[in-house]
Amino acid sequence: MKKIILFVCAALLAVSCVYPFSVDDSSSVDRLVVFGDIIVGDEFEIRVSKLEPLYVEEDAPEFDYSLAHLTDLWVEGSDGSTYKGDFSAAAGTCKVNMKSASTEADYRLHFVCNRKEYISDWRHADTRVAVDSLYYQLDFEKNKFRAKVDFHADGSSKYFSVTYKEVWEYTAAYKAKYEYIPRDMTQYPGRYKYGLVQPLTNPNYRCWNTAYSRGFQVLTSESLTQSVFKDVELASLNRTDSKLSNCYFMEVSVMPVAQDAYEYMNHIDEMANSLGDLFSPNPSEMRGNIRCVDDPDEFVIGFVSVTHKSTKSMYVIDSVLKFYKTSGIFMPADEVGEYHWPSYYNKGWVPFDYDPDKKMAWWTPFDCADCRAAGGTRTKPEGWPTKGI
Amino acid sequence: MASRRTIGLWLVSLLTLVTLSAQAQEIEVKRVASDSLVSYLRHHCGSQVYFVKDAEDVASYTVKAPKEGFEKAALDELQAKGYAVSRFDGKWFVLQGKSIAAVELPAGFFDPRVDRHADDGLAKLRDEENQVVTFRNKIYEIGDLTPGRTGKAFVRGHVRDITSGEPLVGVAVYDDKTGAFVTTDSDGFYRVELPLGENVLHFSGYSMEDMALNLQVYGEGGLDVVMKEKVTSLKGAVVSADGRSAHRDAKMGVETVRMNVVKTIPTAFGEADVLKVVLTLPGVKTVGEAATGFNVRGGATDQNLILFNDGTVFNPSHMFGLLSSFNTDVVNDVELFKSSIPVEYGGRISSVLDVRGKEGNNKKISGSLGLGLLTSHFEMDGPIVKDKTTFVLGGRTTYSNWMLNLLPASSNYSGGIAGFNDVNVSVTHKFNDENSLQVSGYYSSDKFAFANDTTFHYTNANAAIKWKSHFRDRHTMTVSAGYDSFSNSLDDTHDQYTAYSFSSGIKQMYGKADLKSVYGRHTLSYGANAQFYDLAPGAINPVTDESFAAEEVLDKQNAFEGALYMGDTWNLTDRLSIDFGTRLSGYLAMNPGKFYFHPDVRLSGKYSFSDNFTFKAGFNSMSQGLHMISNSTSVSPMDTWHLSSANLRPQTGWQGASGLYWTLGQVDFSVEGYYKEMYHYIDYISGAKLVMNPDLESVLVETRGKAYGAELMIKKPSGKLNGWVSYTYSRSMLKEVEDRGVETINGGDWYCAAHDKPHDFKLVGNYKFTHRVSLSMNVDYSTGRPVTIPVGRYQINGKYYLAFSGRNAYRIPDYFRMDMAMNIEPGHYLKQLAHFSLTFGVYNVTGRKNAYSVFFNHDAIGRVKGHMLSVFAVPIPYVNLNLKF
Repeated sequence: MKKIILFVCAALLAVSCVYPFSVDDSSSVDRLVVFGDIIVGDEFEIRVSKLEPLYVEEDAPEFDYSLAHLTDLWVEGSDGSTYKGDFSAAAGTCKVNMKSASTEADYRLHFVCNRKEYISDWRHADTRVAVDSLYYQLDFEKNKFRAKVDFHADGSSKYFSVTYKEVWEYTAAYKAKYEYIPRDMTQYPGRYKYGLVQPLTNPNYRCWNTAYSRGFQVLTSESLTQSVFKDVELASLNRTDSKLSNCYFMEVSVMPVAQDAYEYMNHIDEMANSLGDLFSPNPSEMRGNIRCVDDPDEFVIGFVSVTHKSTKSMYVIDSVLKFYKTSGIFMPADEVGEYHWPSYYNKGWVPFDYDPDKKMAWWTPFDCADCRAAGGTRTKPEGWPTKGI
Repeated sequence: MASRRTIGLWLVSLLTLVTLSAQAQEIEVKRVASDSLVSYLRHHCGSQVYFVKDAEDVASYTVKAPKEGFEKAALDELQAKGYAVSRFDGKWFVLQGKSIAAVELPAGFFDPRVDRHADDGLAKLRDEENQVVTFRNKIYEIGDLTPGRTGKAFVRGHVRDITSGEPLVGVAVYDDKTGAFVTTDSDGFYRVELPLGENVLHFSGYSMEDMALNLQVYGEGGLDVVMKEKVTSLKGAVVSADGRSAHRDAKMGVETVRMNVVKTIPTAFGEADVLKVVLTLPGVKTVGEAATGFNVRGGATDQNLILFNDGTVFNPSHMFGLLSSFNTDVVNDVELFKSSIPVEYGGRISSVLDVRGKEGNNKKISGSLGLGLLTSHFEMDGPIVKDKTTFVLGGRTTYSNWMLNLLPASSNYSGGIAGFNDVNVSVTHKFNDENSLQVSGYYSSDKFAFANDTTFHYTNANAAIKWKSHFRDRHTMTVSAGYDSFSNSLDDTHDQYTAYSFSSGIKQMYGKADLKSVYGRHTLSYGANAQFYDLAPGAINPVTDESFAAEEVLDKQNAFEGALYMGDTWNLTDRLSIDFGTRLSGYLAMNPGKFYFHPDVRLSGKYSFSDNFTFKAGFNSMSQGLHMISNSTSVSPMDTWHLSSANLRPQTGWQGASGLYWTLGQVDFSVEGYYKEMYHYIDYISGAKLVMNPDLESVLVETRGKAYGAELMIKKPSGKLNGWVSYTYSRSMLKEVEDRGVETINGGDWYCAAHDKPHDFKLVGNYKFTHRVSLSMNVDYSTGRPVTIPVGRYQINGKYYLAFSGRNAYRIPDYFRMDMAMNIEPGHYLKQLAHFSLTFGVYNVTGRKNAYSVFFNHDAIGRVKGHMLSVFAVPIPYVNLNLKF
């Protein structure tokens, strides 16, 4: 009887489904996109780009949304100060250093793009926020590592933006003690008919990678008695995530934002995440606080807040935590005689161990022996607590 | 020679049809027709039987009894199948309808020693002040004979169902000779003016046997009529009651939903549903098949006044819109006014859906039970005091709640709640033929939660008391008062530090006095309505000790709405009639006070070129002080309401319409065109906060709307094949009134309303194979509704966000659905204690994946993928078992 009921239940739940949908004609729209916050007392980035086409074919070249026509950018202070942008970063991205800026003044952004001038509205950063603690919780039942933050604000601000930065140390699957030199690149091509496997002095075994929170997380204390936030989850990592394998660093930044900034960010986030439910709000475009001086009717996407930043960081070392578990995924490795070395080399494998007596080498795909393949660098961050290199 | 041949054929047929086993003690006749049975009685039992066969009687008879008791057994069997059997002057009269004893008084009637109650039919005639008519071959004398009197007189009365005593609504009562025509009201009451002298008064009701009664009218008088259901409607009437009304009545755009049609139309999960049937009518649309609410002629969902026993139902749905709030077992009839809205209705600018409950069987306790895949329902009604006081009790519940608990924990649905209940109760007391009092109540509750930490709950509650009085022959007065409420709540406990409970609600108290008076060719409707609104826009409370959720209560909103109205239906000639009137509506917003006055106009007229070809035109204007706050495509259970205030004007609108109506045989053809405009309809600024916003009016923007269209309909209400097919072309557009620069919706240009679906084709058909077995089919095609879709994307901190097109600039794919159902009705044995009916069918036979909504997300590398959500994406078979007793 119970099985029958379960079947009926499953049938009822199965009658609604989600299917692919495409629009034949979605005409492209040319709009400017501006994002970044003016952080008083810090260095920050402003990015100016343009709208990307909605559909990109798999084999299409990567769309360049950065804006090369961004010719000038500066922050204007109500106290007469000016902070010029530094265009040395990627196209469309501009760094501004306001570490010495006064907290008393109002600020606004100016930039010139395609010979048109754009400005944000005057804003003042008047509230500070304090990060009380950044910590983690281990969920052994679901094998999850959860990074959380508690913070509060003393002033009148009720709206906050939370971002974080992660840095983690990790290693390749195999420590490559040898490297392969193809026959033509050896000193004696005639002697090394199948190429040469020789000791590697500086293996690319240990790396450090950096990531930032995607998008943004906005919170409000509108319906709370105080601007106190507890147990705000920042990131949730699987126990097998390589971020936890050695040493993991997280820095959280909490910034108070204005109500309209919160509403703007909340709206675009909702539009990106909540569409399609039976009771979802109808999608709509909301105007930010950027306007074109030369063409007031131009719709510019984006919101630039003026704010302060409060940060806190933590290191999580696995040798202390003992939470990380290897994924158990088999890393391929073949013991190969010298006759096959060229073919393994040509398919992108590298040797990581070698028995000179037998002239047999252990080969593995490049990304299993070189940590850089996972996107990290060999440069150890300053002040990193573990000793390995 | 011919007579011998006839006799021979008769004998052959008798031998063929009848298996006769006349043993020494017992006679058995198997599976014979009624006339054969009577013939057998005449020839073999020597009975003198006068028999008029019901033309629609196709039942077979089996009688087995001892020879001496066979006559009685056979007559009992005939009686059991609906014939009236009477004995008079040593002869048996087997007729349709009532006992022949009602025609002539038996001997000794005036002799006090004779027990006059021996004949129930006679007693009934004596006991009732008015004549109760079921017998056709009689001349009924109305009023007192006053020599020399000429002119006209009113004949009035109630038309009721013969078995249940329920009033029959919408029965056409007319006299062909004078052209007098009326239809019975919600109490089955009619009043018709006839010339003194001989008249033939016709009664024609949907699915009821037509009647033509010979009247001798001497003066004002009463004539109550009982009609019986057309047991077999396979051959059909020549002109349906609806078709006749269309040519006699000046009102336009009035659709009547018959409950027997509701029960045959296939629906999702087989749950008979009033609102789903309303959606099959031309000019009525919805944004999606599981959506709550409906749109009439381009109007918004909150512009429909939905009444149940005079009370307003604010959210007429259960389970996200899968089912309507109305238990079909307790509903007597449903009328939708989509163009000519009678003056007594007000408060909404698009349509009025008037759902009226049963009064209850005044003869005996009866009821029904139903089992479906999702729900069970029951209904019981009957007399508390026979022919005086009746009750109706009905209820529904669902099993999905405990079924969800049986699902595995991994399903994410385990522990969920998706349940509802509703209860209807009413008591009607008839003081006398002129006065009756009804007290009714309705309560519905929905609760659902798929995650254990968030629970939604909403309730509708209505209570009403209604006194109806007919006085001084030409006046009818209905005085009613009631209380309606809708409330919703949300408990969110997923985070102990922010756990909160949100609630909002609306209550209204009303009083109405509606009068109708007939003066010659004028029928006046006049009266007054008063309504007080008490609206709680929202409140938040913390639900755990650790919660930082702030207790917050938004200020209550109150308003008073009153209306005086008067309308006249003026039959200038038999061919030309006009309906006109005005409703002077006043709306007083409180805190701060602001008064709005709207003189609403109602005007419609008809001219009949012939008895079956009519032209009509009409104009009406409406106003409403209530706004639904909803930014979703479908009405959500968590939507709140907002009253017009000093800063927010009431919505207003007008509609002009005209149409041609042609009845050819059993088929009614109609084409109606309309144009309407709406003002002060609200939309929202982008990113508007709609819940718990103390300054809500600052995020509202005012729009103007226009809608136009043409509706073609071919309807065949009776016969073996019956149903309707309709095609509608319509548009519904909106435009923001204020110029807000780049944020103005669609740049200030017209944009499609969410329910703008230009092409709409509907077919509802029913084919009766036999009297018990029928096949129903429902086909629905419409243009896909408009949507706003992304037209570009951009990155912020590595995450993609979307930029959108102009408002409703694209459309989802067209909608098509076909449903089929087989209905097996119970046998027509009148004395059977219980009748089972069985319906099995398939919803969405073709399994078309109709899009309810579309949405977009990104894959791992940021490519945007479009998806569409199909609510009923596969054929859904169902079985429904109903028991009627």
